[in-house]
Amino acid sequence: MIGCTRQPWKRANHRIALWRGRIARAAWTLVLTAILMITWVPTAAAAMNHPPDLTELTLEQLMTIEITSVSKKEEPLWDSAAAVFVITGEDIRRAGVKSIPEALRLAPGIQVAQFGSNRWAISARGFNATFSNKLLVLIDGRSVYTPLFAGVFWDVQDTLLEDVDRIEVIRGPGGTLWGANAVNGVINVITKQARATQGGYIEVGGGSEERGFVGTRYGGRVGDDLFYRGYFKYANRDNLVTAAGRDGIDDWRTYRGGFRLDWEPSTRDTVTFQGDLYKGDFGQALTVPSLPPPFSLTRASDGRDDFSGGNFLTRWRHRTADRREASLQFYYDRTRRNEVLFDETRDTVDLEFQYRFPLGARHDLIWGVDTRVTVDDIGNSPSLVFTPTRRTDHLVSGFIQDQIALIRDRLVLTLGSKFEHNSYSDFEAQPNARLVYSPNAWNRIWTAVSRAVRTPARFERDVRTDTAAFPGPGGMTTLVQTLGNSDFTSEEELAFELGYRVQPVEWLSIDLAGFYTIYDNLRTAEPGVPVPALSASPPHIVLPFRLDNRMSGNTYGVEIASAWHPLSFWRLHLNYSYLEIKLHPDQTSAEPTADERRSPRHQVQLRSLVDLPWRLQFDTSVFFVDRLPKLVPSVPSYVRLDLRLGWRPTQAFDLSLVGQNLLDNRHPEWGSIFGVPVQPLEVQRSVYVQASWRF
Amino acid sequence: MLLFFLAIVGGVDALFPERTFAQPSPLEYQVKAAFLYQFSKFVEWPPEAFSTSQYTICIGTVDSGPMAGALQSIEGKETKGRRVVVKRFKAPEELEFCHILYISAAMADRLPEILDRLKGTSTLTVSDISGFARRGGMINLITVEDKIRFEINVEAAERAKLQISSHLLKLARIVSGEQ
Repeated sequence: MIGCTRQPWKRANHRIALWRGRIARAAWTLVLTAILMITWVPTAAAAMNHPPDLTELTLEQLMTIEITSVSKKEEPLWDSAAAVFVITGEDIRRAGVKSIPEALRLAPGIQVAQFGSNRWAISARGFNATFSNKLLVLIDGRSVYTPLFAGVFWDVQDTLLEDVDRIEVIRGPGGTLWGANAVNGVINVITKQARATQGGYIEVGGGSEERGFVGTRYGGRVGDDLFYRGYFKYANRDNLVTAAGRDGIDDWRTYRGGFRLDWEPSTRDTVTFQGDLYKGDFGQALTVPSLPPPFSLTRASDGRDDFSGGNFLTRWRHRTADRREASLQFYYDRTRRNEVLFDETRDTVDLEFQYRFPLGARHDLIWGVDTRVTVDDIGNSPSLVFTPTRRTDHLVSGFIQDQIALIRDRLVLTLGSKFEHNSYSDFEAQPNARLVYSPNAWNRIWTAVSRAVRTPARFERDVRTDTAAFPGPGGMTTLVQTLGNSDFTSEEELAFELGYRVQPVEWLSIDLAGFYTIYDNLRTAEPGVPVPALSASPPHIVLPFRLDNRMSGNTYGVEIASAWHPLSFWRLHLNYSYLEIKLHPDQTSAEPTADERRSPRHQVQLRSLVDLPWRLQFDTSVFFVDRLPKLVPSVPSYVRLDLRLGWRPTQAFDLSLVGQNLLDNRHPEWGSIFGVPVQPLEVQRSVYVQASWRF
Repeated sequence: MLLFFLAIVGGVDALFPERTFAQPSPLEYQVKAAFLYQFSKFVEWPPEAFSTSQYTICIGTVDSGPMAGALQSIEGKETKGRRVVVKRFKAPEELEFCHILYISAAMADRLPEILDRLKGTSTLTVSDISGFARRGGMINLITVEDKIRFEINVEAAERAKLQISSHLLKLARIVSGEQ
């Protein structure tokens, strides 16, 4: 046993000699942890084989035992034929993260690159961008990606993290169930039921980057059937810094409050009402082209940029004795942003109905219809213009999916498709076929073939934006403009996936997924004929780039997630992902293939959660993210170390000391992309303390 | 990085060449099994519930899942002069009378059907399905702050001619249900 563990270590040791600095240090941490894990396993096995005799305990004693389980088998996701990872509320708390985008760092294969105190570039399976557009994000069933650019304004997607039950992260296409934009993944944030958040909760904290935050919630009940909660939170976050080490002037503040009400009028019905209100302000500095030399200038927020909004959702779910289930959901969402280059007010209403019923002994059918209307009002600036400024878009979709037990408890086939009609690309079909095989209780093998589309965003149809300026022929300035294209169509995807999950013993689970994806009609920007603008002042030449769909490509990779519970008081998670992207612009296209290396080839996450004596908890997270050579400036690989020391002297009181990005003063996680007027900032070391109290 | 991972996985593999040996069930279910055993001490069944055998008390599960292994720990133990017999039913169609029936969360969809089948019998129903006691079940095991608590639907128990001791009721949250 010792022999077989030492050999790979020696080889690894030889490699480490080639590395330097931080990476070597982090690698050593990994190696040492690996050795520790391997040598501790026999002890762990012994500990697990001789549990105390619980049957001798009284009821009162049994009620004091803490049960935390890493077992995935009880989760419905264990049987799913998709690359799913679940971030639990406990994971969020023990990782010390304070926002939803930061929590996504815990999932394998998700690239989270922060480039402003309120800005993140987040993607799965490649194609990350400053405004990335192939991820669907839902919070309690409410879609939060903006049809403006098909991406997400992460700074307004928040709630009291204490009340988050889990974040389901689905890598790969999920178009059949979730609809357009679920091309490379779906992020599903699910908050706890009001029943599970009874009583009061207060958290207060602050530190170097998290300057100060407060969160509070109170949950109660009326009679036996009605549970409610209300929350409020405030956070003030510090600037990030520029590459030169100067303040990024992007500090931000948010205020947010909300409620949730769960009512069970009968044993078969559940009705939920929930809503949030938020506002916040932030600063930013953007580099925009200018006609006179030096051809670019920095525009900063005059005063403060700000956002505000709110949403209301209601859902009725009805179950019948014969396993039929119907649900009806309605939501309204208003969001408003006021930034240097544009402002946007958007109202969205959405109505959805789903019905699930068994058919015979083998079929489990589910179908649904959804209709959405989104109305916006854009305020333009000279360098970013949307025409028209107001637009109303309708989306109507339906889906049907059949889960067929080919062999009962062994082989399950899922066939389904989504059909959708939208204002931009008319009719879209997104079918998929998934198969999961369960040879026994601790093994699952699954495979899937799916088609998904990323429908055009308003940006790709209606925009005119100044991209760059440079001295042209005859001393006249050439202004590069990016123009939307009324013929811009959907980006298409065909994905093949294969996965394997194994839980050989209750305290170890490994989840592997591999994928090969073919893309077509990917977005490109194509140069047009230069147009002199002689009557303008100053006179200049406009070089237009029109958005088009002239690129295909493919990606492949693997993602590994593992959870290990070697001792009752120690949990480990090790995730790894590998990604390769190949892009093929058409012969007629002028697009470079820079997207290929804007997502890391390798990512590793290692987390250790230890329960110490004296009610202490010591949690370590190490993240390795590979370099991003095709950004400007290119982003070197980095290792991030986060530590958390928690103390819970009583069930009611919690104290945490958290350090983030401890290995360096600052490092970049993202760079510029040509034509995107954002100054990427660097992430700094952060330390904060937090006290929380339940009553 | 991959190399480390493979080394670790390889290490584990070498340690556990046979994957078929009995898997210890998670602590959560061992504790829940102990709860089931304790419940048997604080509930009075009508005499006809012991007509087939005076000397045994049956604790059953439907689709036991992770509970299967945990129940081994209470099999054969003594409770009020009777020996615990564990029965595992794969599906609701196979149900036979048991004094205590644990219904696993996997059966949530088929709960109304299961409760329907148990009507008229003196079965103490226990489950961790959310809202179980309010949906016509008797004892709902719930997890609060990583600890197990329980809700009792006294009316449902009384309908099944079961008497629950005041000691058990004191530790529980009393809820009323429908049906």
